[in-house]
Amino acid sequence: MRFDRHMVTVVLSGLLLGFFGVMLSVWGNPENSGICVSCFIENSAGALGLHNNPRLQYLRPELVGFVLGAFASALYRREFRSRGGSAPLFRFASGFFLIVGCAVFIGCPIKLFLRFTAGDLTSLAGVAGLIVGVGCGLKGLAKGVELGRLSPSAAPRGSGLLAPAAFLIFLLFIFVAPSFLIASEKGSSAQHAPLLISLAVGLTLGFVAQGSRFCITGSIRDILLMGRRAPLLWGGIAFLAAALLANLSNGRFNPGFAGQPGSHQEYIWSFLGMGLVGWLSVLIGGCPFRQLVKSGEGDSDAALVVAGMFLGGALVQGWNIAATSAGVPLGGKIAVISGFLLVFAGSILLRERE
Amino acid sequence: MKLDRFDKILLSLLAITVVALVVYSARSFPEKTTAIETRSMERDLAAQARVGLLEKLYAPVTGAMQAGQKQEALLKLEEVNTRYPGEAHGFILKGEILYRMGILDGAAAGFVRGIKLNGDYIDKNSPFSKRNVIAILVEKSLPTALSAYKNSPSNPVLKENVANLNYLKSRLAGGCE
Repeated sequence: MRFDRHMVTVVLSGLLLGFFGVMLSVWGNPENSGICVSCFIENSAGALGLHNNPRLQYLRPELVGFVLGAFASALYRREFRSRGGSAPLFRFASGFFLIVGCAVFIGCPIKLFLRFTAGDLTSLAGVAGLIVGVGCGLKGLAKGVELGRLSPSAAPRGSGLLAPAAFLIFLLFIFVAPSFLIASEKGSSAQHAPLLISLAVGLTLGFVAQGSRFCITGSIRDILLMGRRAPLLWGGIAFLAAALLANLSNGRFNPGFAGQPGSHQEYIWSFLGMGLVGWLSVLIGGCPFRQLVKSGEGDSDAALVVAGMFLGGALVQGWNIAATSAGVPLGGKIAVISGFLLVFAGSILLRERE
Repeated sequence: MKLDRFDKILLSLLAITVVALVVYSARSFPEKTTAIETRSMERDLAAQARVGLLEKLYAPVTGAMQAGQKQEALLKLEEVNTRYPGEAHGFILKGEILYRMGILDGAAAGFVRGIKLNGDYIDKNSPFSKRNVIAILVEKSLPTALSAYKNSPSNPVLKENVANLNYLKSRLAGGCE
């Protein structure tokens, strides 16, 4: 293990993500959902009028912060580069199914570990699913399943600016709300940390994560590939330690299986939902959080994943796919199975054979 | 980068478009405010109307409850429920009456059905919030329900009661859903 500058950035990213992931809940976000990219996407899709669940409509400033923070970091580090052109439609569909998997589990990979560090033992099924999913994805990569290489020449110059521009418009919407923007007055979307704090945390995390390439599924992937030599292992440990300490010090550690906030006890579907997220994340190169960060640094393929995630955020609510404490609806089960259909068919069709 | 004539035309058009966008956005502010106010008004009216209608519809039930006539309240509730069988408020009131009667498993089942239909009843700030009653119910019944279920795990009624109480506990704990 080399403790170089990159390692410091990775560990710092993990620490900040874990700490703020809990503290945003303390400051007003829903329990165990201080940072949850899938929840934020569902909330924001609702705020933009893409679904009509009156309890899940709020344009989350953290989401805007992640992309614009990453954009600022990429400019500062001279790493902003428009690139893309690799299996765009597959990536769009993957973005949709990432949110399906998250909605069936109730949370993205970041929230998975936030739930775990708050003592929600039902999340263990999701942890297992995510690890198995990432492992299967890696096996696929080893067998030649690839979406193709990102190419600056395949993406028109300047196309990478579209995602930051879109989120800049969302930032404008936050401060000068247009008439079509909706904000819930009840339910979990009515719970939020103060706007400026949320935005500042989002910008900070986006900035740091762009430099470190920190990603939950990326951490698991690197650990499976490189073991203790992987810098992301230490980033992951820092994330878990910071979140656990923050939960303990705020009296938010309540170990148990039953009655946990925003969780259900359909373990097989939690496993499958996170398994789908893990597998897809390996194929498209990062978890939902990493896709947001990459879209901020000029990756137009990641921006397509983000667009797919917004469609997913709308439809998991509109089509009764999202799980609740009551369990996973039939629509959610069918959607997860459909996601695996995409993974399997895609793997067959996209595989490079000798 | 050397700009040719076509670039210059495009840049001019871009500048004109930006100016037009700013001008039209600025002009739309009064309309925007009106639209927001109208929608807020509509939403508040709908919420008030719902509260008023429910209070009126279920007045015989709540009247009987306040008078301590629990059986009477249940009968009145059945009457209203024949007209509005899928209304969450009916399930919530049933839960509350059964809670007052000491039938805790029935109360939990009623609350669960109501909250699954309308999560407002678990919110702190909702006008019909039953959060406190539900919190007391869960605290009171869950330990006994769990031990009863442990003693006879094959009993589906006990299993369902534990599941209902755990659902209510989870909703009380919050989370994003």
